[in-house]
Amino acid sequence: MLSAFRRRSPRAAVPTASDPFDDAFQQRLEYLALVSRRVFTGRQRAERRSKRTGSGVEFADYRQYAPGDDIRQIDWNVYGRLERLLVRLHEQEEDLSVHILLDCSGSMAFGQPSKLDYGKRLAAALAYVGLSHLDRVSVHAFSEGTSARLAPARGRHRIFQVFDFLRSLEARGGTHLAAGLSGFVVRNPRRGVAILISDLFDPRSFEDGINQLRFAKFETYVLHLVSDDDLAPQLHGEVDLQDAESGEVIRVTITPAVRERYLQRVAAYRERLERFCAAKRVPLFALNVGTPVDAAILHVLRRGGMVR
Amino acid sequence: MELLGVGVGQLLALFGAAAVVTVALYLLELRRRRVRVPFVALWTQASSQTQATRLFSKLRHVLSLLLALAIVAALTLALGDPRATLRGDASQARLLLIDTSVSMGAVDAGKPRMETALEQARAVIDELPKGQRLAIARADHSAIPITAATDDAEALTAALSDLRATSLPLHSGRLLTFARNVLGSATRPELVLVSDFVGASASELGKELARSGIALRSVVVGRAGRNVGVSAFAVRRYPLDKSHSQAFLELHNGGSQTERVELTLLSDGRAVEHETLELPGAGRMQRTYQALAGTDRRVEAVVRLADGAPDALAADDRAVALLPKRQRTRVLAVTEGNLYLEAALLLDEYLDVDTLAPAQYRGADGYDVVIFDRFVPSTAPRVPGVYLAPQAPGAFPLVVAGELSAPYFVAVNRSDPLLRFTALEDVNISRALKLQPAPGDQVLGRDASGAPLLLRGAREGVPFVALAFDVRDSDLPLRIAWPVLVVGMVDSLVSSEVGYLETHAVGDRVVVPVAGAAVDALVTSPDGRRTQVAALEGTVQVQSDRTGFLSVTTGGTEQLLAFNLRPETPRSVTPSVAASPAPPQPAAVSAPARWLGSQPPWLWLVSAVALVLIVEWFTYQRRWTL
Repeated sequence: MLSAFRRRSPRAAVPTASDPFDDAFQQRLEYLALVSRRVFTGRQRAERRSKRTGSGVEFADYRQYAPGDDIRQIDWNVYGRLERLLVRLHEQEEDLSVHILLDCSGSMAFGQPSKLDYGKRLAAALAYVGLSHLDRVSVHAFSEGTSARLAPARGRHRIFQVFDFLRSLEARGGTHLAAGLSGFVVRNPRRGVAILISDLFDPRSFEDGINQLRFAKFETYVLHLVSDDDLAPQLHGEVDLQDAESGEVIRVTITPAVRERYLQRVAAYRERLERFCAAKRVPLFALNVGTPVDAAILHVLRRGGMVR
Repeated sequence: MELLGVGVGQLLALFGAAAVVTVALYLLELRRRRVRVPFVALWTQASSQTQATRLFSKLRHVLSLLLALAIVAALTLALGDPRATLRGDASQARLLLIDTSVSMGAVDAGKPRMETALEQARAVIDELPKGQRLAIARADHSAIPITAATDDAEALTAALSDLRATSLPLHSGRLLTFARNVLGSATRPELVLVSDFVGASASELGKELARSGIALRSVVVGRAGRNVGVSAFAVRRYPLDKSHSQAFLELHNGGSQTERVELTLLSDGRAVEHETLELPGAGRMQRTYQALAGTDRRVEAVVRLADGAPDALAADDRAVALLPKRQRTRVLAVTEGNLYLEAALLLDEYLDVDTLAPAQYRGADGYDVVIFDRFVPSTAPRVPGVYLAPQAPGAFPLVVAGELSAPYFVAVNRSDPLLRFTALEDVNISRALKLQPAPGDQVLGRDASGAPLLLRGAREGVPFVALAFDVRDSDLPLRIAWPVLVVGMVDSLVSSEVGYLETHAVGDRVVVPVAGAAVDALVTSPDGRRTQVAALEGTVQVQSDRTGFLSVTTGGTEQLLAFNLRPETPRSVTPSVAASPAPPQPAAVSAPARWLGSQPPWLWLVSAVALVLIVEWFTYQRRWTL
């Protein structure tokens, strides 16, 4: 499907190895659509119902005719029975705003492939699904002290802008979810779906960051990226461990006992995240970067109700 | 404690170098790896419980270095082979040297001399004080250690079981050098030499050893006995009559009385000559045997006492020699029919003769010799030729200037091998060709006018022999000289093979060429032992300490070598009477300190190092304890 756009786009004339999708993957995503559990207001028609009445197909209500109304909407059957001029109101199908929030902190550089690369592919896939169904898709990259944003766009031909934007992202800086997401909320008053893609390694609190989205009435999804480097690091002996974000160094002798305690801490951290999301009714998906992206999209997200 | 291995100075130098390397490696190990992790907070929580042990960690590093240095010190000390210093006479260094030279193979009154020597050696071991170390070596043409210095009497006794007398003479100089090397730096060294001292003087050895501070204790074995033997033996095939050979031998009598001996020459097990001789006491006799018939490849000379009494030493009763293998000669006789010629050629069994009519002659390629009887080919043959009454024209190498009427031999070169055992002066000849020799041709017989009747020469490197008359025009075929002359002419034209094969002396290292592709050879020694020997650059090196025939087999090809006693081998078996007096027995000493049992200390040191490394691996590398 995208090949038609590529032919028209000089920049995408030659596919590169870094392109997140191949044609087969894109074709599988064609039939996926984002599902929103709420009805949001939108600025343009789309495939979802909104609270506005307008030129949609589904009947919504009647109201008294007023000068200036489209006389084609007058229900003449009602006028014949009741001799009252009533105008049929229809639900107007509105577009959906999908905000993809990608963590670009230094910790996202770990994993094979790196969590950032994996997150880019997830973001690109979700963006393509949204764009294919005329949703307004925007992509936000954030880390401590830096942020970047791809303005909302509609139409699948905009996917190449998404690709270019994602390609330009690098893993650097620290993680401060609360600061980064509060900035997003302030700049985006239009509510919609917010998909947070992050490893959630926030030394302060990941809860504050997610709460920023919840409090702003965004329908929030959390894609928690993990890698084997996080879950089962192959380290032993005398080492100096340096934090990839803060640069902090600690001197550790990694023995089997220390490694076991680390695994316990990781499990506890993930359990805390799951408990929080379950309590706040925030869908959480833990994705290992070893899982193929298409499998993640087609199976994990479908099982989670994000796609149908 | 004393060190038997590497000296103290070298040990210190070794330890210093190893310690420097160890410390350098330790410092390198202290440089920790820096590893980037995504979220160090989790590690901080996980390792918080071990922070309290950081002091122990530092201490552990110091202990680790000290442990490494201790391991290096233990290994270095093990190289020195430390031994506990013994008290009293037990500290004496002692070497038991057993003579295994050829004379030790003698039999004294029915008892092998070597058996007596081994009994004496066992007695020396039995009288060894507790803790006294002893090394055992054997000596003949060289000295070879049998055991290391040990106080394990059982191991020492067991080492004696394989000792046998060889066919090599005792080499006193090498014995002395070996003793000095082994005992030179030891404490109160003593050499116990069990020998018959045949060919060596105990007093001279004692004096030489005393200069090096080594005491000699001689244990003399053996007694005087009758001994005759073969001192030298050589056989060669006659150059012109390869069916016969000539043998030279020298016999000796090692005893003081004149002995009647029986000498037998055998070829491949068959007796070809037998003679009874009288050998003067302590004397030698040389004999040459001419024209021995029936000799083939292996020739042996065996001597024994004529009265049937056993000879004291069997090793010198037999000498061996090899004759070169006879090659067959392919001869082409081009003749219309000459019964005299064909009959003469039949006499040599090593000639393969083909007869051809002159009209059928196309060349002589593939033959060793071609004989032209009253015929000269149009082109000269490329093989040596015999021309009998050559008929020109043709490619005859000489010019025929006419005919001689009733010539006769007036001058014959008797010194030429071709004419040996022939008498031609009274041969009657009715007519002969008048040949003109070219410069360089050799006239072997001429008539009164000086015209050659028999001559030889060479043209373009191809030799020939020419007889100027037809034997049927003479009475030569009726004489013995005719077949001898024919065979002589053929033999003189065939490239002479090796007429004499050298006999080797036991103990000599012999280089034997083998086929270039061979990687090894099977060597069968005279006593039947088989050994696979690696070939290097197309040769194998063999050595024998026994007399007899040694064979080297590669790819189905067998080469024989004959080994006899060395020329310097003493012929007498009578022991030297000038043995040094036995030294006083060492006083009994208190039980010496045994250092951790009977095992050498270096073994314990290395075992300790291995144990430490195993414990370190389980406790540090595997971290079972931390």
